[in-house]
Amino acid sequence: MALNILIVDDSPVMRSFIRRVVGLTGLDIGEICEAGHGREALAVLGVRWMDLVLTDINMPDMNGEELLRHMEQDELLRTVPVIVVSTDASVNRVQKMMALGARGYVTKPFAPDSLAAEMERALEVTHA
Amino acid sequence: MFEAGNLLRQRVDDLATRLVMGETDVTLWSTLLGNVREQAEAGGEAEVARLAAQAIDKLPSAAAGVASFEVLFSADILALQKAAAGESAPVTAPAPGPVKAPPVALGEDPEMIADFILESREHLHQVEIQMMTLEKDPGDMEAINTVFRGFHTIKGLAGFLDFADIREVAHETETLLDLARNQEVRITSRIVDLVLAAADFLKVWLTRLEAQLAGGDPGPAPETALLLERLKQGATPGESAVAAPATPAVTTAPVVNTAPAASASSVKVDTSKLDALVDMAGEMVIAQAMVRHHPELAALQSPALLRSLAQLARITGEVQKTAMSMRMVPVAGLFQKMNRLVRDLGRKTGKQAEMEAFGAETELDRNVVEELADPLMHMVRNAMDHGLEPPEERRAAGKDPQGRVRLKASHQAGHIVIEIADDGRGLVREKILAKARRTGLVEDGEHLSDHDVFNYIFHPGFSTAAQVTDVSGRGVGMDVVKRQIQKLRGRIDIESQPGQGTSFFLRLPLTLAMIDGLVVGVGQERYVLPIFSVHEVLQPKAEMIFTVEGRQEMAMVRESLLPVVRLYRRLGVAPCSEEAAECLLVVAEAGDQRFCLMVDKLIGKQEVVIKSLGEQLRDTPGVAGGAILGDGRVSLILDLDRIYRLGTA
Amino acid sequence: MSIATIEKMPTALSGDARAGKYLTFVLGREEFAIRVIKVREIMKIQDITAVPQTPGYVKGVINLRGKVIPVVDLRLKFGLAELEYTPRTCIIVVQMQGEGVTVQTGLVVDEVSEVLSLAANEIENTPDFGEGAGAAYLLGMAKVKGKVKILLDIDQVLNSQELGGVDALIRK
Repeated sequence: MALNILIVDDSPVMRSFIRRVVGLTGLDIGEICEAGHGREALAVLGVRWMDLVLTDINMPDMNGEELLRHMEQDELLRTVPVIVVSTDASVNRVQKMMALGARGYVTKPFAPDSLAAEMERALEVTHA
Repeated sequence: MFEAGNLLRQRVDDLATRLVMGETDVTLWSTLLGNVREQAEAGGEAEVARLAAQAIDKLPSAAAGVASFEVLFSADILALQKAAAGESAPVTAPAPGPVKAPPVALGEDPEMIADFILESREHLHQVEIQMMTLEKDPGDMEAINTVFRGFHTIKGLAGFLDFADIREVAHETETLLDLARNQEVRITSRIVDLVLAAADFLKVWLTRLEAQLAGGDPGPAPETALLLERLKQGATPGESAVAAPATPAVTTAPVVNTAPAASASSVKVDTSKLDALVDMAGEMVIAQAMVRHHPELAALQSPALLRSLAQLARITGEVQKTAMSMRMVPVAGLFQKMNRLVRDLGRKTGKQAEMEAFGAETELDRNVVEELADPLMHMVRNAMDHGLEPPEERRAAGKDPQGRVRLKASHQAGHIVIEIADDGRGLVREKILAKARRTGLVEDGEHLSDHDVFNYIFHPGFSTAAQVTDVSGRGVGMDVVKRQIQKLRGRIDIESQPGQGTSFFLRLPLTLAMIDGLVVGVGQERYVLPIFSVHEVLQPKAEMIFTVEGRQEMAMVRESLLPVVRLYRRLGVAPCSEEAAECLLVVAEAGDQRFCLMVDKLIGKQEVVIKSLGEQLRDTPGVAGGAILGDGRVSLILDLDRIYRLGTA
Repeated sequence: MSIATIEKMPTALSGDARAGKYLTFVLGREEFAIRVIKVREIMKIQDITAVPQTPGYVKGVINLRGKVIPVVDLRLKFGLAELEYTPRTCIIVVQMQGEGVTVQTGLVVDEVSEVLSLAANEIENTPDFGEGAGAAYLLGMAKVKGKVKILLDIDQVLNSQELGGVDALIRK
């Protein structure tokens, strides 16, 4: 079934870059939605079922960490896999995000196949 | 050296990511760690090599399942990251290595690059504004965060596009700002300078990319290595933390509030599309008028039709107004530039100055704003250089050692007035007069008002500065400023009080796209005169016209004698009549001179869209442009200043 | 009323870059040709607004669908006698690449004839009249059905002040 994907990043251009790479993964992609920050992402998630969330960390008005925390606290949203998309590759940061419930982590910039692999894994974990 | 270090760092980061992600393939680990060790040895990074070797030694235990990879390697890899990042930089987001090939060929997509340029400019604009705020209030976390995020986003985008220089500079600036965010580095004027230098660097790059996109020559790339070095030194916490905070020579007030860069309710539009829309809307208004006044339709005498036509006229008018309003932008951006200028000049000249901005939200046509940047910059420079006194001199005069430069925009009777004021020494009447006498502009004994005297500074080559400095001694005088303002169909006035300061007032039209015109007829031709330079139109009596010295015609209008310009002679067309009594006199103003323009008849008053006559005819003397009148024919819009000078020159 | 003719030039297989489609028009008794790719449209003569202080061959400006463009009388540009406009008089709007912008100019001609495809073997070089002004604006000459057409490089025509050589060709 086609995957609905939510891209959360405060940069519109970055969102379009990610959208482009998602399109190149070769996965069966359904609808792609965008949100400029965590709060907007929650609003989208409230009205639309998303199969996967790709989120940045550093954003104004609810950053990636807070978004993960909010999603973890929500019974329904905690089942939606989140992949963190960030330029920050420090162990501390990756560990922290994973501890908060992220299912995957990719460092910008990334190639379509590494994103595809990460997406597939994140989705498998959910189904397991 | 730099590149190798970056690659190493990136490889170590890759290890870290894999560890957290639970990679358990021992062969892969062995290869990856082996690569890191090899590269570290080659690059002379002994500590990294040692740590990598240590991790390799643990691989058998991991393979045997003695402990999880995570338990075994966590500490090693963290240490590796620290070592690879070097001692000076703490562990923050390391830049992906420049040698890495772009993951996707986004960098070859012109649309993506154009988007990148647009968004990056917005971030850099915010950066400038926020850095001004930070210079005043180094503890403003929101400002630091905004600046940080700007560089962070640019770095991320540049990574995708594989613009290595941009990414590296953005990365180092981000590192520096991260330290400031964590209060490990204090924001001093020096740090502000550094961040602004980085922003300038990125701006140059954006301009180069833009030139490249347009197929032009991007010009030389700015120096990267030196800037990177400065940024890294700036990010050395020890040094700047202990350094005494420099007293900012210039305090600048933020001009714009922290506005979100882009809101969901706005869209970006290519300016050429906007110009085309304004053009077409103007055409629609004219076409509509042609339909409405078509004799065959008028003959129908149908009230219903007339109502519909009136409705159409109203709607097309609205469309035009809306289209024009889309081109209006606030002067805030322009003021921000001046704010930056005041700051930089203050640092350079050692003068203390504060810039105050009022009415930054006032809107003007984008084209006017663009054309205004140069003259405004020149006047601010003048104010800083010649207007404001050095601190000692101000103190001695009993003034606040910190000078003020004020920019104020406001609406006045369908025009925008921009005031540029300083509280410096003011214009000295005697000095200007002395110079005017020396250069033969004024004769001894002539009595002149302050207004007349001050206006001499607009004469070519007229400068009262006792010393020419690097700041304003650039060969541009106030005469050029005046010409630029006049080109915008505006005017410039001065007020000055000795010892109290000088104010310049620029009066500008809201838009360059349209003009209120007076349509006059000369022979078979029609011409449009800009109404703002027309005082009145009158029917002369023969006895009002005199000929002075047998050649210059003068008209006595309200007890003053004004030169008469016969428009048909100036334009070389055949008039209906050469008898003054059968003509009309348009009393107009050119520069500071009033004169009478002789025309055949008055056709009407009309708002017209100003069209360029195209590349070849653009500089035709006396012609400011073309307008398409109701019948679809082109009529010339006259530049009265030039028309007058054509005759007297 | 207007014939919009914009076509891509076929690649010159023959190796002669001059081969291709041309629009021909008449000035006096001569026929001239310009590349079709340069032509934006052709319109009947209309009211032209004179612009002061310009060379005589600049007849003025016209309204081209909301854009104001200059109009050059090609007769005057070539130094031929001025002729009163007739219903056959046309304005050919040509498009040139200026500095980063496309510049459109109207050309007043006596009448427009046809669009021709010229092969390389139909095109000859213009004879040299010895004045050295072998003229950059003359691309060559073509003989079609016994009639001679003078091929013009219209960019060069409009960019040069002095146009020597045409009268020599015409007098012939």
